[in-house]
Amino acid sequence: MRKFSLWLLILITLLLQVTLFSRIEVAGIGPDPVLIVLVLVALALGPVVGMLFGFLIGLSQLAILSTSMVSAPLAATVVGYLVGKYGTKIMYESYLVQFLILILGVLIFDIINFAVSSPGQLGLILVRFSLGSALYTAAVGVVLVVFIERIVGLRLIK
Amino acid sequence: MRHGWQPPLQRDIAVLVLLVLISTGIIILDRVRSDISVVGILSRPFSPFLKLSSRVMALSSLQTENRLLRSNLMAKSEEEARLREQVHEIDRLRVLLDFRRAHRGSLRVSTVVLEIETRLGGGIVLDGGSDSGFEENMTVISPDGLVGRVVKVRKNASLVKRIVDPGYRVSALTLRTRASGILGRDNAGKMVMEWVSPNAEIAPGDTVISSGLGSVTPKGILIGEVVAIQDRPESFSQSLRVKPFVDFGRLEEVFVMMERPPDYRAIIEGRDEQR
Repeated sequence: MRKFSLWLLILITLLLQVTLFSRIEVAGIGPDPVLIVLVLVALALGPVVGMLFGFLIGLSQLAILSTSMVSAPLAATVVGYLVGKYGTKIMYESYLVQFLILILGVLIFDIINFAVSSPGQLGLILVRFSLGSALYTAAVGVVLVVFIERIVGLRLIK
Repeated sequence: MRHGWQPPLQRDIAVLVLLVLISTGIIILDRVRSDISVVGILSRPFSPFLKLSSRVMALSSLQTENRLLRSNLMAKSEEEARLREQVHEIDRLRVLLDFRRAHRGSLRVSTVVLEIETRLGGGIVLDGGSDSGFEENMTVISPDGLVGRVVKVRKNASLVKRIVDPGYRVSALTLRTRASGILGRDNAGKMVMEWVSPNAEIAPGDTVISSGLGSVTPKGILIGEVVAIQDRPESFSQSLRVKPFVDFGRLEEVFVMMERPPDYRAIIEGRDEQR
């Protein structure tokens, strides 16, 4: 049942990425729903499920969205593991901590991806693209968590 | 925190190493074998779904594009109608400008002081007469077009028969296709251009100007526009209903053309000395 739920979550996330989230870009920078869901799954279910989910969603990005970032499975696996392993050791119930974990998650994901795809421009890309994207993703992620927990009444992270 | 399955640390690391190795293998394969598309291989099982989704998305973008094109088309149609109207206006103004250039200095302004009822012969009275140099058969115009001609001159006043008055006839032609005919008032009180060739190509909205035939009214003065066309098979001609450009109900000042075109008939018949 859980496996089915995770696959469904992956499909919904990818669907959101190409529909809703691609429309709320600001100056070419948009939030990444894949990382929001990955971080939340890793925080809620721990490092093993986190890295497995990361690997599968990275692989799905390649397969379904045909993205050219072949390092996406590696980057998402590492992010899922690190967040699941170390994020759960701190006060992750706090929205501020979740915000910071999301920023770190996006930055780690981008560092791995750009270190593989364009290592010569890693610093430039991180400053120009990743910082804004991390802030935007973290803000949207926390708003999403607040909405689901406060409005819908569903506890995501227990 | 609730974790359904907590593996020991070694298994934890083992799974991580395995996944990292597979992920790294994908990257290396993509780098080393440029002839093989890793993304292509991975997405192959999903290709029917991807094709379907791309078609759905294309349909969605087509709908948006269609809406955009429709609104563009409407805007273009409105613009075309406006441009057509402007072209029509430019034609009219060009004729008027040519006419003004040709008669520079030969126009005299006069004020309309009285309108005589149609049943008495019809016409308007101007405040200038022979003392202003006005003579019979001088053409009277307004900035909008032909008004009529002077038919009676006194010392301080002149009577002008308008083109809408009974008995007025003027030779005219259509500006676009140069179809000629005789313009006058019919029994119903409407202006009609008759004896137009049945083969002439006429359309509603065509501008009618004076043709210059008859030696009274100079050529090229705007008269009106065609509003209806009627075939007259009994006379092998067409009859055009014409709406005059001049609003005779609001005529306050007019121009009297002091120069008249040469009377070629009188010249031919040797009567030009009497003019």
